[in-house]
Amino acid sequence: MPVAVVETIAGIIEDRLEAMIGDATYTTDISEVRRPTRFASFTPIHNQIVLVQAATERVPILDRPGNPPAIAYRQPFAIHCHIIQSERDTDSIDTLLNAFHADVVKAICSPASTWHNMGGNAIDSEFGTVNYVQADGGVDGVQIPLLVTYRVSEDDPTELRN
Amino acid sequence: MTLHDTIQADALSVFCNSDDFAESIVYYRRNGRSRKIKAVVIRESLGVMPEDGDVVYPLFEVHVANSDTDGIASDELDLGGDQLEFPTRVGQPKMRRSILKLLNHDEGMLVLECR
Repeated sequence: MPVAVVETIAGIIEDRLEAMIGDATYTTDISEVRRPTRFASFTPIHNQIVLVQAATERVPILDRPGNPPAIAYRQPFAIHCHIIQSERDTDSIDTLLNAFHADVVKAICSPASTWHNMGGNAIDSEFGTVNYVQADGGVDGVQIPLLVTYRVSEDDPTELRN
Repeated sequence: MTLHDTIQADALSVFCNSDDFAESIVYYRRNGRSRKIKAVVIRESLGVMPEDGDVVYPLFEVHVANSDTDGIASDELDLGGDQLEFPTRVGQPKMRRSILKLLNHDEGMLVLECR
């Protein structure tokens, strides 16, 4: 069954993040990568990554004529990096957050020369402004927005039109 | 018996009595050790995942005795990794939940928030 192009892109991002698990070249020892269900029933744990999809935006300037026309979308993904630091740990939380951020960017930007096209499924990708999550919800962390622009047929979001 | 002793004894024998409201759950410390404890679990209020707004998650309020044997001692609790294991809904399989907040505590009881 054909898969929506945006779902293929989400799977590629998830795969790149999951490749961090057990990889000693990264400073952060990633525990797991999650894509939440509607009712997020998993528990937050230390060094967890949660990949969330936000509302899709249209990018009319990148549309292409045709029958059917090719329609461009920009899909924001939020990569939540959770840190639940022990009360007995003396490391600076900012040090952990900076390392986590750097590791995730390196993982997403692999392979270096073609990371932005997400396996040929996207026109371009870029990172947005990073938000630092305060521990008022009990979890510290950094949220890394990743904006992926792709193009599909107007009448079939499973048909890639790059 | 002092008032302090009475409060601690009542926390275990009255409030955390499994013949009434309490249930048996497992406390996992970040260091890997664990033990069975008694707790009153208030289940499934809802929180919203920050910055996204469209993903909700279940919150659990857990009341335990301030005790290093039958409950959780306030000085041993680590909000950075300690977990509790209990069913999400009564009758469902047990799963571990991270303890993220200490909502309230006194000599007798701790009120914890889990996700």
